[in-house]
Amino acid sequence: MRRNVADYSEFVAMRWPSLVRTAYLLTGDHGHAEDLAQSALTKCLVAWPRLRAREAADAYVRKVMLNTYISWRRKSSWHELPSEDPPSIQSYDSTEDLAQRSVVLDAMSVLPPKQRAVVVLRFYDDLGVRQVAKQLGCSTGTVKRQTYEALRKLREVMGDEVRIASGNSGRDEGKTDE
Amino acid sequence: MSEDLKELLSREAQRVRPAPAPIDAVLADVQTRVRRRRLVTTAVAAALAVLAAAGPWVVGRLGESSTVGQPVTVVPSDPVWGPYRVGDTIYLGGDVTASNKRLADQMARVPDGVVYSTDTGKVVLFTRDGVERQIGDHADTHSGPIQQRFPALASDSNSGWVAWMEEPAGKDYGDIVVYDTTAGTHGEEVNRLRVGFDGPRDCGAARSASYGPFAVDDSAVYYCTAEGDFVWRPTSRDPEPEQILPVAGDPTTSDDYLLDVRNGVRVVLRDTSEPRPVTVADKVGQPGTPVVIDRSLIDGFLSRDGRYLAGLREPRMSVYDTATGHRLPIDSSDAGPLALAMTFTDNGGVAYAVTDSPEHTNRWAIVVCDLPKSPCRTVSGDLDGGVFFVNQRIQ
Repeated sequence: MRRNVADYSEFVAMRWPSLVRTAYLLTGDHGHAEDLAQSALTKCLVAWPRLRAREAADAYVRKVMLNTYISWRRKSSWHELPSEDPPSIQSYDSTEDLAQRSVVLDAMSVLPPKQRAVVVLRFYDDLGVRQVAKQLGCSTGTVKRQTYEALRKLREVMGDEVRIASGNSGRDEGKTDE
Repeated sequence: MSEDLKELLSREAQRVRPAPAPIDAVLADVQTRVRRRRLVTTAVAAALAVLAAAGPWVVGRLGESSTVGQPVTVVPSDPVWGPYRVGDTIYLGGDVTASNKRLADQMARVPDGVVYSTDTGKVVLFTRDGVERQIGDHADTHSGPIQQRFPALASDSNSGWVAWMEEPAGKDYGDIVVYDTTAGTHGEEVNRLRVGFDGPRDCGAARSASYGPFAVDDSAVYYCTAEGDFVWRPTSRDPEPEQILPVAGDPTTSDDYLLDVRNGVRVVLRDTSEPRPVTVADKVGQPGTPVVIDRSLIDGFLSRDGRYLAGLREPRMSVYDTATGHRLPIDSSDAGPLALAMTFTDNGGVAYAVTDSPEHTNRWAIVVCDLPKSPCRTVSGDLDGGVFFVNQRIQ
């Protein structure tokens, strides 16, 4: 493991911003997002010697992060997550932005963890149905069903504030796995 | 104004300004985990020896210098058998005692002694006749997911089978090893099975124990991988493992995990997300009685006869009757607010440890309850923090 530390450090430096942003959309909290991303990277380091290809490492760490997120939520320990650095105003561009954040994140907060993960993977990470199914360890049918339910709930909460293009789903379904 | 969801999410995400990548913190976290494991195993350094079955209970503390402290003697009304663990502490009970040997984070009872693993990854069989023999080497590098696993050993105290996972350094697979401690003079390896680590599931979602075997019952080994939960019968004519969960073609079972198997009773942690997780006890081949719990039962495990299901449900422990689905009226509030570890006892009861400190450092107590209902009694209380042991006789 030691001989891989340099390689791993490079990987962390490169992936950290992206992971934190994905984690932020999952958790809705900047402090939790960094905790989640750091936890995933820690687990990834453990498995690093067997992650030969960078692409495999990307998929692995994202998968670990999703599992950790869902696991934390499942164990109802979400509100007890350690956070040495509570979210601060400096984490965002401006106070105005901070106020606007609630529109989409508040709507996302009504979603169960797996539906929220599906929305983030499909509409932020831009993954196809099969890729999402692989990441979450479920069938493509489950992904489609969870997507449908999630979008229905988001429409209920957000109303006309957002246009949730159903065509996006159709486009993704045509994607192939990496 | 109407906006696209994808644009909203992207804009939201871009508002976040991540702090610099915590490379040092991640590396330190991993090193801390490894160091913690070593501290535990060093602190609990002790040698196994045979103790007279009817001896008095002894409660003592082991210092970090690995020397045995002054024991405190207590005499309970019933013997309780361990081992079980509270945080970084290993409790031993019954007819096992220890001195001057390194014990790791796991022990398993077998008919003729105990099997334990060491901090260096060795699996050791120690029999009543005083013979120690290394029977396995489960992880000498801690390079894979096995280091997250607890307990490291799965066992059947009736048959004497013990199972663990060996993880060769730098490989993307592990070997599940099954050992029969009752065969031959000092036991024999039954079989081994190679399994991969890749897959979407997180075995840690169902139990603190992670990848690898978690139950041995009726000549079958149950194990969890990132692909699913499997049963493997290593001595059968066709020893191919059979996938239990998720059920092929049934996407609704993708979040289900097998919690434990004892005496033919299987307990499945069913995560329906909405409204709440449900645990179901199934008699093999028969529909079982639902055991509905209001939160995930972490580290749920069955009594040896499969009649009871116990688990931590912080801050308390809970015990359910798998035949009726009812929760038993066991109340751990008298001894302390936090129940942290438990074990079923040989005489049909349950024992657990409690503390009044969220930091798990002060005022431990051991409580024993008869099943199916109380009374519970504290057999030792007001123990100092640190590493200590129960029912061991110092040699």
